[in-house]
Amino acid sequence: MSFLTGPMRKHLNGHKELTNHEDVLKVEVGNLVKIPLLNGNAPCTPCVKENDVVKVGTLIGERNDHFYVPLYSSVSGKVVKIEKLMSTALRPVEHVVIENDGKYEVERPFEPLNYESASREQLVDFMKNAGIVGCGGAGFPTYVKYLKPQNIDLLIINAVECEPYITADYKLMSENIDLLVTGVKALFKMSCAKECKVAIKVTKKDFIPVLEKAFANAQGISVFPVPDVYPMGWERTLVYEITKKRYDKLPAEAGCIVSNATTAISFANALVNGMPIVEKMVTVAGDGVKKNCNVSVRVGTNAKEIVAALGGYACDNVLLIAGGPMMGKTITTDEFVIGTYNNALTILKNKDLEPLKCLRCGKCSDHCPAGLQPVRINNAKAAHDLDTVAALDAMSCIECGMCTYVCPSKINVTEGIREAKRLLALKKKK
Amino acid sequence: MNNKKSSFINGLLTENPVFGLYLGICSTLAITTSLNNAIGMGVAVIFVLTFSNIIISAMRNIIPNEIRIPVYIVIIATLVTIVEMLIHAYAPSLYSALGAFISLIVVNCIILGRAEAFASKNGILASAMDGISMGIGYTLSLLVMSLIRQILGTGVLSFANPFTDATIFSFTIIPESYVISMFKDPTGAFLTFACCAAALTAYINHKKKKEASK
Amino acid sequence: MKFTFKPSPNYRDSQSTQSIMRDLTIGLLVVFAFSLFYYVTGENLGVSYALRACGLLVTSVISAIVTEAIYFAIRKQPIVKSIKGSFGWVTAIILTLMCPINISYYALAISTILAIVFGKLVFGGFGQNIFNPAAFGRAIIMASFAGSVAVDFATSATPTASFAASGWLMSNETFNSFIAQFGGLSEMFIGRYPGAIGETSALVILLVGAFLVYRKVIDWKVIVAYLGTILVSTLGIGLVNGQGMWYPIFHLLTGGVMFGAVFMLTDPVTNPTSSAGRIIFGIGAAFFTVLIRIKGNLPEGVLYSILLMNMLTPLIERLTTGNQIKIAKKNLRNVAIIFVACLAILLGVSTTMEAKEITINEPVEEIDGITGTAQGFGGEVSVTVATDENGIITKIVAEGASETPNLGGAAISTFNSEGFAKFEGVALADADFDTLDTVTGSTVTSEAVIEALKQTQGGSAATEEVTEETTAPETTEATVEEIDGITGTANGFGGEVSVTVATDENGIITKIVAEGASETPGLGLDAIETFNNEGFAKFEGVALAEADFDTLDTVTGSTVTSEAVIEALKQVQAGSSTTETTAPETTEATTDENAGIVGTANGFGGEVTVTISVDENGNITKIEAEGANETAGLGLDAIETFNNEGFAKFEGVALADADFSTLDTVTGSTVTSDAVVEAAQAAQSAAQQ
Repeated sequence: MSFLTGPMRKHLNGHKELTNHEDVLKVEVGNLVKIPLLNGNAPCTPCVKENDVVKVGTLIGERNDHFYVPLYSSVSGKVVKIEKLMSTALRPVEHVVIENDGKYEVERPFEPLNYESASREQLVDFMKNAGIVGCGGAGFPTYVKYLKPQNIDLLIINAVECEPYITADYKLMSENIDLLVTGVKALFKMSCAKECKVAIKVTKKDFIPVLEKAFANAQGISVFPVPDVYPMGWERTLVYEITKKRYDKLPAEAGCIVSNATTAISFANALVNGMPIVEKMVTVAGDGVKKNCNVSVRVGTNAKEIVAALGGYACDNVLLIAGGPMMGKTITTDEFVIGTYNNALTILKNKDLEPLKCLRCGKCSDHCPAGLQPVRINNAKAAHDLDTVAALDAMSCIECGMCTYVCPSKINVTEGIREAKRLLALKKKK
Repeated sequence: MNNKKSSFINGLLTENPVFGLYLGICSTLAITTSLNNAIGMGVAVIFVLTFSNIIISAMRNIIPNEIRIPVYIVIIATLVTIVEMLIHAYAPSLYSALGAFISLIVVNCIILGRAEAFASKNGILASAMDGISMGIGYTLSLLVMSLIRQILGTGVLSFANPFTDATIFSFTIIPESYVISMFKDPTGAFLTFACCAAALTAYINHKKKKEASK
Repeated sequence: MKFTFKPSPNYRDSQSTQSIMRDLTIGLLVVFAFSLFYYVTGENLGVSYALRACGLLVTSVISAIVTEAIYFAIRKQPIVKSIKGSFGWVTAIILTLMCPINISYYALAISTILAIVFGKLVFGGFGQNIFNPAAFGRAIIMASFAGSVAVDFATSATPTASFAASGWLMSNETFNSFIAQFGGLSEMFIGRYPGAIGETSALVILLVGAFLVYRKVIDWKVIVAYLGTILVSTLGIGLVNGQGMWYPIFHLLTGGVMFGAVFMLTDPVTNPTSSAGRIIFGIGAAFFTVLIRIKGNLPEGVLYSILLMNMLTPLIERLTTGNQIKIAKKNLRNVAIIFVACLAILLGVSTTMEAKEITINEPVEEIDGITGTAQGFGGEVSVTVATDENGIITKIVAEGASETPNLGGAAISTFNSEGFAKFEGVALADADFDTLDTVTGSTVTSEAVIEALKQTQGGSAATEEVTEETTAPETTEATVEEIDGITGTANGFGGEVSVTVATDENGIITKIVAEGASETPGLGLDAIETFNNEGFAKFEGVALAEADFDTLDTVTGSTVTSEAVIEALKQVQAGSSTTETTAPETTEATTDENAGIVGTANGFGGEVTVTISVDENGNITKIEAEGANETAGLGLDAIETFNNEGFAKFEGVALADADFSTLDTVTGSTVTSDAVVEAAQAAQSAAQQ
């Protein structure tokens, strides 16, 4: 039936070779560390106030709505203030500003846990308290996925990393295989799944044997190579690729749970070392920065410091993107910080693009992984026909950017769909 | 007087029945293949329109509202039949050229439209003026279209006396091997109509913009 | 340091609209280059054709660009940039490739301008048009400029037009000889046959198409859906109507199907945006193409099917609204339903198809009159003009047995049935035969007919007797059949055909028997059998002298044999007025009974006699030649020519002084001509003795 739809995927030039084999640079955070009181799009309440002394691992903030997410300090020092700063969510958010005393004294917020002996519920609680969030970019509280797994056949560990330029997951995995195995096994236990597959791109020819060897003795866990296309790392695409099933809202409907490989490693770090997420592997790449490589930074390091450590910008006018070029957002200041679920900075020279008229080639419709028809959504929106926009299921758009990537007329199709979604939301409100 | 004059000009331009109000299109498209047809049809319509407006306006107070449309049609049909017989008698070549479209003047939307919109609400003289101006507007529109279609489609601009069929003038503007015969056909009719309507709309918009900026 | 805000994503593929259009233009030019190659190397063509093709292309491209430039200037937009982004030249190239080589420059220019203006610009320019502008332009040409052709570039009929004239059905054997005219299916695939400039070579178009699909310029789904549906439906139609496997292949190779599939149906602006929609689009276009071909009055359905489907594109988009994954099942169901429905309708309609007879040589009415001949496409074309005593034309009959059936032959039929009507009642000397309405696709034959007509004007004064069809059979001795009667013979397809007519004492026909051992079994032989069994029945009981043998029902596929039989019958008729023996076999000018001096000589097939009549002063009043055994079409015709005109120069000259060696001999009949001269000279000497 795929002749009735397009391929819904495309191989992108990932430029992974820019940072794959470079050594990881450790960038020390400067005097002031700013931890964003943010989880995903939800704000968090601070648990400290000015002049409080904190250590690495001190609880400094919490998300307390229907989900619980604790935020921990990544340095030791004194809380200077709570300041509103621009965040990677493209809006100003409160940050806990800590003056770094450079000592990095640790105050473990929780003790390590042996996952093999712990019960499933204990593991879930542990994960919740450790503040493990989805490191694939969205920052969703991971424990929620494992609260009440029902009819789960398959746990998928997402090591695909399909976003161009980013190699953070890969680098982290290759340096922390043991933690990866521990994390995967723990998640496997928590998920009550029958099987576990570690999905990785088939083009990672050197790494697949390493993974296979690592999981050779693990019962039920195997390595599943997937095609090197975008957006193979998206949950729906990945689930369909492995199970040939589609679902409506949650992968659980298809009997799957999907977790990112870095999440597994972070979980393992919490289990084994009793440490929450205080350090991040961040890929800094693009022609707008002088050096391209992965950096290991403390949570709260701001982009300016990172770029400075890499030699500075390559030109005067850059696109400073938090994340990869496809789904990452451009931020208009480099004073934003790396949070618990950021793993990339893509810096590109700003080039002007002159879009032509849409020639209705339909490439966007053919490549949309969600099965939408972006060209028609845009045309309907331009004609103020919101009924057709709704009928075209515009709300399902995840803004992956595939439509804009393939558009030969260089139109920003994704932005058009965003506007359409906003208009639909407005209409609903009325 | 000014009012009457401006409403007269209106009937020709901004409220041009064919290109502005899009009334009476089917006969426009069908018969504008030659100047003769255009003028013949135009005169017929002027006659019918004026007199129907006069009669309906004269009777407007005594026609019951519920049956006004059938009454209008009867009046218009009577006039059209008179015109048809006259044309058949005195200009037989015009009769065969226009064919069924003479009878179709009865349902020409312009006539019924003006009866409904104007004659039923205004005095006799005003209605007569409206009829004449609408009719002249219609005729001029037909003239424009048939000029374009005849010149492009047959290359010849000619006019013959409808009563005697004697050629009054005939100029070959485009040599025969260079005519675009599509314009004689309905295809050309639609294209020409579209261009004329677009031109008029552009003019109207231009005037509106000028007035708005004053 | 500036940090620009740009909404995500900030990553683009390398393929751009400009590169797509550039690849498309290159593909089109490759197809065009092949056409040039064909023109330069093809038979009856030459460099002038290639130059004309280039000239047409340049005309169209310039018209397109100038039109757009004027438009953008009026709209106060930057001209060069807008033209670059409007890609008007692609329309121009496609339109040129769809036209025949002999279209006039004017027609192409005007159509291009109208196509660009009304097909593209009024809708908002590039990317907004509903109809494919090149198809629109081609439709304008068909509507307005069908006759606007350059006269010096002769067209021979295209396979499509000829096949269409036969009702899109043909028996297998007829097809073999039909397609042999164009070099067979393989030549059709390569593209060396007459057609539109760029539409002929399926091979080149498919190769270019494959390249463009590989470069992701066009969508393969449209092409496969279109060609696949045509293949399946014409396969079905062929099976229903008893056509061979060549039938679907012929449909695919002819009439611009390939060109339309690769370059026009794949135009992204005018086809649906979704894959499912495009598949429906291809199926629908195939449906209309085949339907218009088999049931419409037009020879070609591709053009209008493209325009019709363009019109239906918004409807198809409506049908495929929704999330493609969620409506995948619905789409599949719709595609299947549409495909099956189209197939069913086509198969149903195809049962009402009728093969139209393509008669090669219709039995031509015999009239008395002046004959003119000229070289036609396949052989000689002759025309007989009958006039009354005042020189006013009463009837004209043309004949050209060697012309291509369906083309020249059909043209001649048209002339005979209607084309000549306008000359009736006109004085022969005043008739302007150049005004004869020529028939498209048969330029050579038509011109030959006109030339032959003009000959009759300049021809002799005296009316002569009956002139025959050039398949006038050779006369040989009679062979008595199993019945007693008068026998006539004629040359059939493979050999001699003879007919014996038995009459009673009152001259009423009692029986007719025909025989033609050398005719083709299955064709001529069967025809003769049919005549013997039933065909001749209608003449029984009719007086031989009155029987109109032209009304014999000829048998399709055995025209030559049938006509030979009719010929032979007529012979019998002519000869029966004299004796009951073998028909004298004088098929041409029967000799006048006037007394005169006779001279004979040995011609090509037998004896040639010349009878010279003189008045009391010894001046020649009339010369009559006769050579019954000469070859039909050559010697016989030569003698006819002499009788009609050649001898005219000697009339009024004293026999003794006449120099017969100045007789205009006729090409190809040297022996006969020499024999006539010799015979005349013999008569001359006999007279002097």
